[in-house]
Amino acid sequence: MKAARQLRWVIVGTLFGLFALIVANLITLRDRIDDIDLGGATGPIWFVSRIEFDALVLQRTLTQFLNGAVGAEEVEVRFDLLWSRLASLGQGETRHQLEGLEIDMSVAEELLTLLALNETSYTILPQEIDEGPNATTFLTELRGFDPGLRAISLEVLDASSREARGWRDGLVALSRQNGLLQVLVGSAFVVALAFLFVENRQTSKSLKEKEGLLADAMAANIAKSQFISVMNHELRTPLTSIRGAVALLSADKSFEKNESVRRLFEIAQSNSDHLSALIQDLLDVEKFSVGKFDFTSEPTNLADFVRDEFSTYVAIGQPYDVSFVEGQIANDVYCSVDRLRLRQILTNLVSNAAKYSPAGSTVTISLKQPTDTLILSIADEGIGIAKKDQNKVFDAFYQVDSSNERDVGGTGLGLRITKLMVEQMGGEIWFESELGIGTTFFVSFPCAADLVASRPVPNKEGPTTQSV
Amino acid sequence: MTTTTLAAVLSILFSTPAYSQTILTVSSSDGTILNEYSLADLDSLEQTQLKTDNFYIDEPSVFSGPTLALVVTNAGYPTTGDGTIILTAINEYKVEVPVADLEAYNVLLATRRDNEVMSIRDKGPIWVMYPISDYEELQDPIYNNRLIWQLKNIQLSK
Repeated sequence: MKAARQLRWVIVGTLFGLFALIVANLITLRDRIDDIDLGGATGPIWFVSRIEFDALVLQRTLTQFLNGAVGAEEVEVRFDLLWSRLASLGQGETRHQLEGLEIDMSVAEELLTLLALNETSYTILPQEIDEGPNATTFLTELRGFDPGLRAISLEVLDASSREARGWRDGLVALSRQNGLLQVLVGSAFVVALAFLFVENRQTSKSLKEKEGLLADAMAANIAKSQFISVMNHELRTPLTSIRGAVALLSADKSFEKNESVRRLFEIAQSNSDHLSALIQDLLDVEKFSVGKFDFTSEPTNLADFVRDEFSTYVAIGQPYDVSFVEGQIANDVYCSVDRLRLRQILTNLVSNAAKYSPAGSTVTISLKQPTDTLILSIADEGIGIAKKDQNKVFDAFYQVDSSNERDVGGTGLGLRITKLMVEQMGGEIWFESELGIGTTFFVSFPCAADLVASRPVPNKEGPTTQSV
Repeated sequence: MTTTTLAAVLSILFSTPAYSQTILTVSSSDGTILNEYSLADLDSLEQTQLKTDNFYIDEPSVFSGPTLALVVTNAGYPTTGDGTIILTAINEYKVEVPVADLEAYNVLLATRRDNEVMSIRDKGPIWVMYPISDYEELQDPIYNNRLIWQLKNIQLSK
């Protein structure tokens, strides 16, 4: 499992690494594309070669003019076109590009100077064109520029080729990077697939494990219920016989005078009672868990109920030399409760208080009605419950460690059952405790106002029954 | 007489053809002349102006003249669709321009730069101008090539 988790992190890490590389490559790819000069017809080579061309066209037109084949206007147009071409070299982006190529353009400048020198003769065309020596001289001078113009054309071509080579190199690098990107994207895809595969396998594996655990837990729960049912039947039947036999024997007067035999009978009786209580508690918890615990609900005056049961509490306290006293008792307050279960609840709490109190101490039972809730409290002066144990008090099979040496007995189920029953009757149970000072258990039940006001006669309409 | 002298002087100063001389022809694909324009004719059309920089100049300038779309419409041709127009310069340089550009960028047949008539030496008398500075996509060699100067012919096809 640990190895699988590590593998998952390795895959995720690789995936992120690949994505980072892809992003970095895309950024540099963009830079490379920006660096590549796409060139085109506007480049310097185009301009310079056009100058050579236009110079030749002017020469041809001049020749044709001297031969009488074309008019002076045509010479003027060709003159101006060459002028415009030469002027363009010193303007805009073309000038920057030629400067970048570091080519000596003095030939073009000299040609422009020649045109300017001859401007007078030719810009007043067609009226004053000189068909004689001036035009011939100009043609000759113009032809003298041919080698120079050819040379700068070749130089620019050469420089442009060098640039083009850089451009091709850029393209090759671009192509390589594109290949690398393809590999990276492909790898990322494969790693992502691997991740999905591993993730899917792990998910289905852990799902299967969870399903298995759930099935085991359900089977164990069923087995436990079956075991408790069987145990209840198989233990209770012989236990009833044992308790009956012990009761009969202890009633036999012939054993009365034999102190050791009588003591043994008491031990047998006490332990069979304890065993019987344990079986009953287990059965109660099981009934709660499967929803078979039946409740009846009837309006009850709790003050009367507590007073009626008080002698029982005193009797429970006697073996422990613990006395019970009435605290503040709110009279005439009615709550809908199951009397049988309420008796069980109070007996459990009172027994606990007696068991965990030192000899000679007092347990106070009070009944208060702060609002529309009735709060029953049982306060002892016992050993108290440590803070660390307080959240386990209502757990099944939990027993507070006893610091005194007295065997308190019990099943560890009493408070669990008590809590379940209180909650089933719509009440709440909680406690306050301090080590060495004592513990007070509180049980609250909602007491409906109409019940208090009308003081119904108990059992008039018969108890209602509910099941959890 | 005064007008003729002035025209002659202007012609000398700017090296431009006479004001009423034909400087632009509009033709169909089979070579039929559809329209002819002198600078005066072009000036009589609705004038548009735009300020822009481009590949061939050092500073942004104000260009003005009729739109190419207007001249195309006057010839009875559409200014939308997938067609192309062939533009030819005095030195026979040719470039194809998509008809779609005409309205998308309001392409100009500029006859003035900073309110001055352009001589042939200054890329006149007609310089096709796109609003290069206004659109980032126009700052591209493809559009630099379409800024044809010394324009003399527009060839249209249906």
